[in-house]
Amino acid sequence: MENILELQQMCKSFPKSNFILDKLSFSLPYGAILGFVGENGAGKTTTIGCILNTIKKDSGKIKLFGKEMLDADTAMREKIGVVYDGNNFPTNWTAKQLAGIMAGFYTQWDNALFQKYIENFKLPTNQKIKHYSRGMTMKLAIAVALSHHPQLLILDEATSGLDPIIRDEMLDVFLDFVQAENHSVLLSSHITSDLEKIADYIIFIHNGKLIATVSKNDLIYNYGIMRCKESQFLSLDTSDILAYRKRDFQIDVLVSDVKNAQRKYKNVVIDHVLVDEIFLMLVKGERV
Amino acid sequence: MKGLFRNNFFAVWINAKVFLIFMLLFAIVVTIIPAQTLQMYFIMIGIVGFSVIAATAIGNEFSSKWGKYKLTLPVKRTDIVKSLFLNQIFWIIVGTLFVGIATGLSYMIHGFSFDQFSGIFRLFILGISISFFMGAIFIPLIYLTGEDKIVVFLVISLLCAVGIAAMLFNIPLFGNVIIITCALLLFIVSYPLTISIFKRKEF
Repeated sequence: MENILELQQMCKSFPKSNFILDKLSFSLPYGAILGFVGENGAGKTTTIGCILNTIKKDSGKIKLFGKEMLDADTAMREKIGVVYDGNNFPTNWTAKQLAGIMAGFYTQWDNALFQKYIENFKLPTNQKIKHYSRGMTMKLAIAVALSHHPQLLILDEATSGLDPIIRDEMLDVFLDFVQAENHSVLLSSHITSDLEKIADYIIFIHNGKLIATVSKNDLIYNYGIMRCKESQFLSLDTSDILAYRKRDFQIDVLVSDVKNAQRKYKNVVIDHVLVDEIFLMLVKGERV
Repeated sequence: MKGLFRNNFFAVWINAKVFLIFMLLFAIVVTIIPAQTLQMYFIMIGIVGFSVIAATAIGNEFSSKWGKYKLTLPVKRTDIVKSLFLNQIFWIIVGTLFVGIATGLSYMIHGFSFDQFSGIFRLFILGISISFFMGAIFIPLIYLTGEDKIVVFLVISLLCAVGIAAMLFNIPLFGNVIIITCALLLFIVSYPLTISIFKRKEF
């Protein structure tokens, strides 16, 4: 499968901090949505910064549309739509003024499409952005990101702080966007339920390190948590244990092959797992 | 570049239109009352004021994520810097033309209010030079330090600009030529310096 975005052994460190992005490797295929999960400060925004060239990587490769993006590759940036968390645009502008400015940046700017999004999102065009609610601000940013016909959408915590109804609307917009086979979305979030709803793949990052990459199918059909007593835990085959976490009277064990576990450990209860639980197990759990 | 020019113009225009109203009122006073001191203030405030507003507005972009967002648009970092410098020149021209027209009008109505023609010419040179000095100092500084020090660096840039200009202004004979040449040279040197700072800047 061809990839719209590919990171190979990407590293980034900061001289005034101990934080390091350590050999990050992952890829986003065409036509897919990739969820990027990590706690605050895990390195999601830094990774996106490196992808978009707002931050310089130390080493490794980042390929967009099959090649590395340099500052001079403006044509490549025509194909990317970006949404950051919070105020993306100067707040004393109106949506109408913003459209006029964006038309000067993008050769493929589609004002009719922008107006369509603005109408659908019920945004006032002549009101200053500073008078918008947070939800409206994010809707405007998404409308701008989509109105120049990008192929790749990169969203950094774009749904955080939004109420469930607006979040749901936004997720539908992203699902609609990836109906085209050459469109993809990279969505960083710590709201894991959003990713469960729309992501095809989910990658987990913790302290600058990639700790897991899971496809949604894997998540639904193959991942599970075994609720073990101590004696049951001790009898487990260590190769089946991805991570485990001790509770009061039980030990939760994350496994990546539920069917195999069900066959091997008939007396153990195995629950299907949510992204949140996987993330907690991988971050807070212990490894064998 | 079209998008960058529009962006810069909008960014400045929001504050510039308030300043423009103030300057229009000032221009009416200057045109009605012929006084040399008033005319001097009018020329200096007009030229330097527009360029200060241009610089501040650009600095304010850093306070939202717009400065970072712009880097994701199809523009080169070099072009972003180039557009800022051209924007600064544009508003210096606007300021100069504005006070030039109002001063010309006053001259037509009341005659010449300055002791000598060179006096008014030197004021224009001084105002333009201070504006160029200020831009040349402020733009790289703001890229170097970021949004949280906009006001203090604007004050520093303006004080430095006035200090340098006052020093050079008093040189006898070629004072005018020296001051404008130095201002333009510093402005030109500041451009590649800002590019080199901005190329290394991470957001």
